[in-house]
Amino acid sequence: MPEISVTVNGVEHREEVEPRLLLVHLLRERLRLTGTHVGCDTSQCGACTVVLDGKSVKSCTMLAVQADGSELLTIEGLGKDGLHPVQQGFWDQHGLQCGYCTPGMIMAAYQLLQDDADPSEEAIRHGLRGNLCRCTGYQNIVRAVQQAARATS
Amino acid sequence: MTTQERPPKLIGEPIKRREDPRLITGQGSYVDDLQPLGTLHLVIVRSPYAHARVTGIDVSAARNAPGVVAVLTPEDVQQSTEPVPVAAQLEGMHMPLRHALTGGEVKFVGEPVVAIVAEDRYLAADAAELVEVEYEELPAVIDPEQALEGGPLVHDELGTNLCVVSPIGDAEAAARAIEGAEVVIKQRLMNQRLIPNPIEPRAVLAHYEPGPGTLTVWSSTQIPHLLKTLLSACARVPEQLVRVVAPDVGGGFGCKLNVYPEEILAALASRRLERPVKFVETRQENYVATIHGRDLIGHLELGAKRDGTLVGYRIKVIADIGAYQHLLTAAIPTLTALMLQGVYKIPALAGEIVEVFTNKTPTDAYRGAGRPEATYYLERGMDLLAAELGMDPVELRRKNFIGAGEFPFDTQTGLVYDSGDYDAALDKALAIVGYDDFRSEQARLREAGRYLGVGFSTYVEICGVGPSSALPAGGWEAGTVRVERTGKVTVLTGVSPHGQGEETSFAQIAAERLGVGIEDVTVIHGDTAQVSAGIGTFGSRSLAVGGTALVMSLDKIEAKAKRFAAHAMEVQADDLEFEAGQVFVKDAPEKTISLPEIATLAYNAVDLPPDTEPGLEATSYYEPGNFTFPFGTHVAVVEVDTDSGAIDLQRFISVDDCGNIINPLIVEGQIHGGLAQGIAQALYEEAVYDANGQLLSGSLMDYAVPRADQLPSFELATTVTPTGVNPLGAKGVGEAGTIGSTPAIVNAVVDALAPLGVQHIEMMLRPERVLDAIQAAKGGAR
Amino acid sequence: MQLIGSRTMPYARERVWAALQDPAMLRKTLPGCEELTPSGEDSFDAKVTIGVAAIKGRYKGKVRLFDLEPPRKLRMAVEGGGGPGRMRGEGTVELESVAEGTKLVYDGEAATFGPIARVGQRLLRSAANKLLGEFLSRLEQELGREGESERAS
Ligand code: FES
Ligand code: FES
Repeated sequence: MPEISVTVNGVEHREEVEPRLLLVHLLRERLRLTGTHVGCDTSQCGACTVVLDGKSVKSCTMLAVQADGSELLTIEGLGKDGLHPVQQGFWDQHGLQCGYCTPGMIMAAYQLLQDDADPSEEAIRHGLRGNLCRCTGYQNIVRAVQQAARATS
Repeated sequence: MTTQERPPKLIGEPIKRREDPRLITGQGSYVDDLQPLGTLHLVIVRSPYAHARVTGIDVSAARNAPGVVAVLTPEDVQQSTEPVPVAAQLEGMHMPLRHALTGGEVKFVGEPVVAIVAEDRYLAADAAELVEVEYEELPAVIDPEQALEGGPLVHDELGTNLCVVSPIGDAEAAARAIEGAEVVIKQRLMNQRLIPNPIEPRAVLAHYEPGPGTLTVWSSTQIPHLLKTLLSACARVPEQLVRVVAPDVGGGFGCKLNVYPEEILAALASRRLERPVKFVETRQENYVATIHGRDLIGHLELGAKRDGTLVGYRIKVIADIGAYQHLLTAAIPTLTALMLQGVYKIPALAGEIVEVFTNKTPTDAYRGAGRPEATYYLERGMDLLAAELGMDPVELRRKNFIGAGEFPFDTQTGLVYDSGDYDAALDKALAIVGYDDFRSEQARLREAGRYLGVGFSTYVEICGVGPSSALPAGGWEAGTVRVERTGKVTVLTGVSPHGQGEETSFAQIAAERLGVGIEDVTVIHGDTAQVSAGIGTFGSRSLAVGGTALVMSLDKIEAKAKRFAAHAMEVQADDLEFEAGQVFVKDAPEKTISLPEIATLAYNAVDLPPDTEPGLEATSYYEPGNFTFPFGTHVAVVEVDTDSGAIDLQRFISVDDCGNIINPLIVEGQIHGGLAQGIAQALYEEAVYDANGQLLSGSLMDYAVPRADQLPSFELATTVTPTGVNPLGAKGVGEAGTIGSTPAIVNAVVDALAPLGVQHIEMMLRPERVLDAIQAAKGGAR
Repeated sequence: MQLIGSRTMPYARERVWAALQDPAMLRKTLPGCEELTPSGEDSFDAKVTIGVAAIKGRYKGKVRLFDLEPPRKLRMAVEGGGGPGRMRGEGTVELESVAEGTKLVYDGEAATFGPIARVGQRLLRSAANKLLGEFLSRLEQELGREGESERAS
């Protein structure tokens, strides 16, 4: 079995993995970082979104071995020192209900704001189109991201 | 009491949710996040055919595959478990039962046939591929109307595909009224099949411990208590040894209001293997193995006078329920029947609900459950009638509204609407949309070849479910309030929120009533070992029914606290007032005793008042005397591109009245989410089967759950007409958005295309259908 | 799902006809074919592994040739299944002598069952066409190779 090394939320992990192991299962089942969720098997829902080397990726579409040598940020690492403004935005604006899409949505929004610090509503809606939420109708998610943008700019 | 500062008001305030900090930091705990030591994984081999005879099952290769611990086959499971439970049993209904695994004849794609239990999910999936099932394909029936007209039989032994017919109203009176009506419109209206799609698929983890003989089941469910009872029967474990926990649940929308084969299988496997066994559905499995919603064809006839006064309404509804009943399947279309009358005075009304078996996934409750269909039929009917009469659809509605002074109102379907002011909601919506201006703008743009439309839906729905006589397993709810020794408060509720925020709203109620800080209240739900009794969260009932049980327990706590206070202060309990966590003497408000002090007295119990037990805890079961009937007006503004058939939803206005509001933030969120689903039914979602019974829209690639850029920002407003049914005056809001919104969209699109002669388009309104309708109206096929 | 297409090969009709009945030839040319054994007159049992994304998996199936009109026309029925689902198809293969050699025309109807039926008909059609194309290319290649070795001997 190949051995890989990944840095997750600042901590380096060396793991022997089966070549077919998905990155999301490495995170959830090996590293026990269960904040990253799985909502589909066709890479449509975005519940598994994490940030890998400065890009948001769907961790269900990647093999763990493909992440060898990468830096990963997951929901557990985002608010290490108090809530991140994106998390705060989701809380303040009631941007979640069941919370299942939320970690992926927050990570996608985080990366969206890294790439565009002051997005329009349209840009936010477009930027989050890879992430499904069945509960909120997205309106409060948009507000959450807008709040976070104001807070960070 | 004057010296004390009043604690802040909590009821009615937009308090940020207390469940959120864990959920936004990845600390939530959903079923699949739990991984007790030694957990095994269960994977299902499912029927690829809509209808087939299983002629052979060979599991030998699977049994010997790496990591496989057990293989369950139909024969084995049929001997060791009871059938998948059906609770809704209507008079005269056919009720073919199935076990958790099917051996003889499979009747829909996705029906479980074999289960594999292995050390991890990859190995279980590998082994599943090695299972060889021989099938002899049988003719399938997919179309419900064909199923009624002598298509292949889903269940041979029944000799028919008809499950049950339920009449409602006065058929003769309705027939007479329609015959004598000056104007009658007739229309076939399809309310298509939908797939609920909570973002967390179903998941269950069963753990049988041989020592104590207990079975603990963590399930992504809306009904932990009902599941406990039913699963104990199905898996044959005495109920008192079963504990069900609904941890964080990633959305339900009705589809987790059920007992599924996989729950029974996980329980059975765990009992046998004495290890934890987990099943997590893949999304593609979810599409065929979890219940679907809607799928009702309505044949509507609406009669009126020339001036628009309604005289009669008759509808035949054909409900395609799929291959079997699930927990509440048969009851869902009867909710359509109950709500046929909508917000109008209709002197004669009759409905006939025909439920039919087909070789498809069973249907059951999906957000709205029966009411969106009723609303769709009537609200489309009103627009068709307005067009026929050349009347403004708003004016027609208003003319027939039940007036604000006419409540409580008896409907032709046997309900009593509690309260309402339909004009008020409509007025507010008209003001927001700027109706008059819109109409002139619309006319102006039409000249320029642009097609804008506005559509209305004035709805009423039934919720706060409900009186136990109307529900197969009881409609009550239970709630406990425990003031701990330190004066901190624990609320235990039988409702089982999965996004609805009762950890917050119930804490608001308890904290305000007891005058403690909200941080001093903890709300516990979803664990049958902690919460002694309950029904669950569905039918927009949590606040109206569960909240009332909580209020009743708070009343009892107050009364008991007063007895302790009276005893301690040597006054009469009647002379005391309970306010803001203090009990004080009415005539001498400086004499007070605080809740923690009373708790100490209650638990130390050294000097008990006469006839008083120690402790400060109260449990109540609330049995609602009636349903509640929220209502509102939804308005859609669309522009239709007549070249491409594309629909641009420009505005959506939602004025809803759910009675008194405990937390406006949560109410708004519920409406947003409900609107998204209702709008999506009109514009995006449809479960499509091919002639072989294969689900073509079988994954998120082909079934369009709306994305962020496919919805506008909604414009919300409320009116408040409290209900007298419960002391909170709250009606419920979980489904209103879904129930009201769908017809508003279709009405708007048809309004936009009316100048071209378009009268109706069936949902979902995909561009080709829009173009076909335009072409057909022009008098020719495209 | 209808599959229609044609391919012209620079070989005589009789050779193409013979190749279509030859298990050894089919084993070599059917994409992913691991086993192909005659199971009766004009019928074969086959084991195939397919690597195309949406229908990836191992399949077992039966192929039956019937209504043979050598060397012009035959009908073929295929039935099979595996982890990702099952399929059943029937079609006609016609061979026409043309100036460039032989024109093979196929016209068939296939139905899929189970998970593969749900992955989207678009994907399925393109996967099926890809596999058919691969088969015909290999057939053409093999016929060429056979020709060369014949010439060499
Ligand atoms: S789990 Fe759905 S995209 Fe990864
Ligand atoms: S909050 Fe439930 S899916 Fe987004």
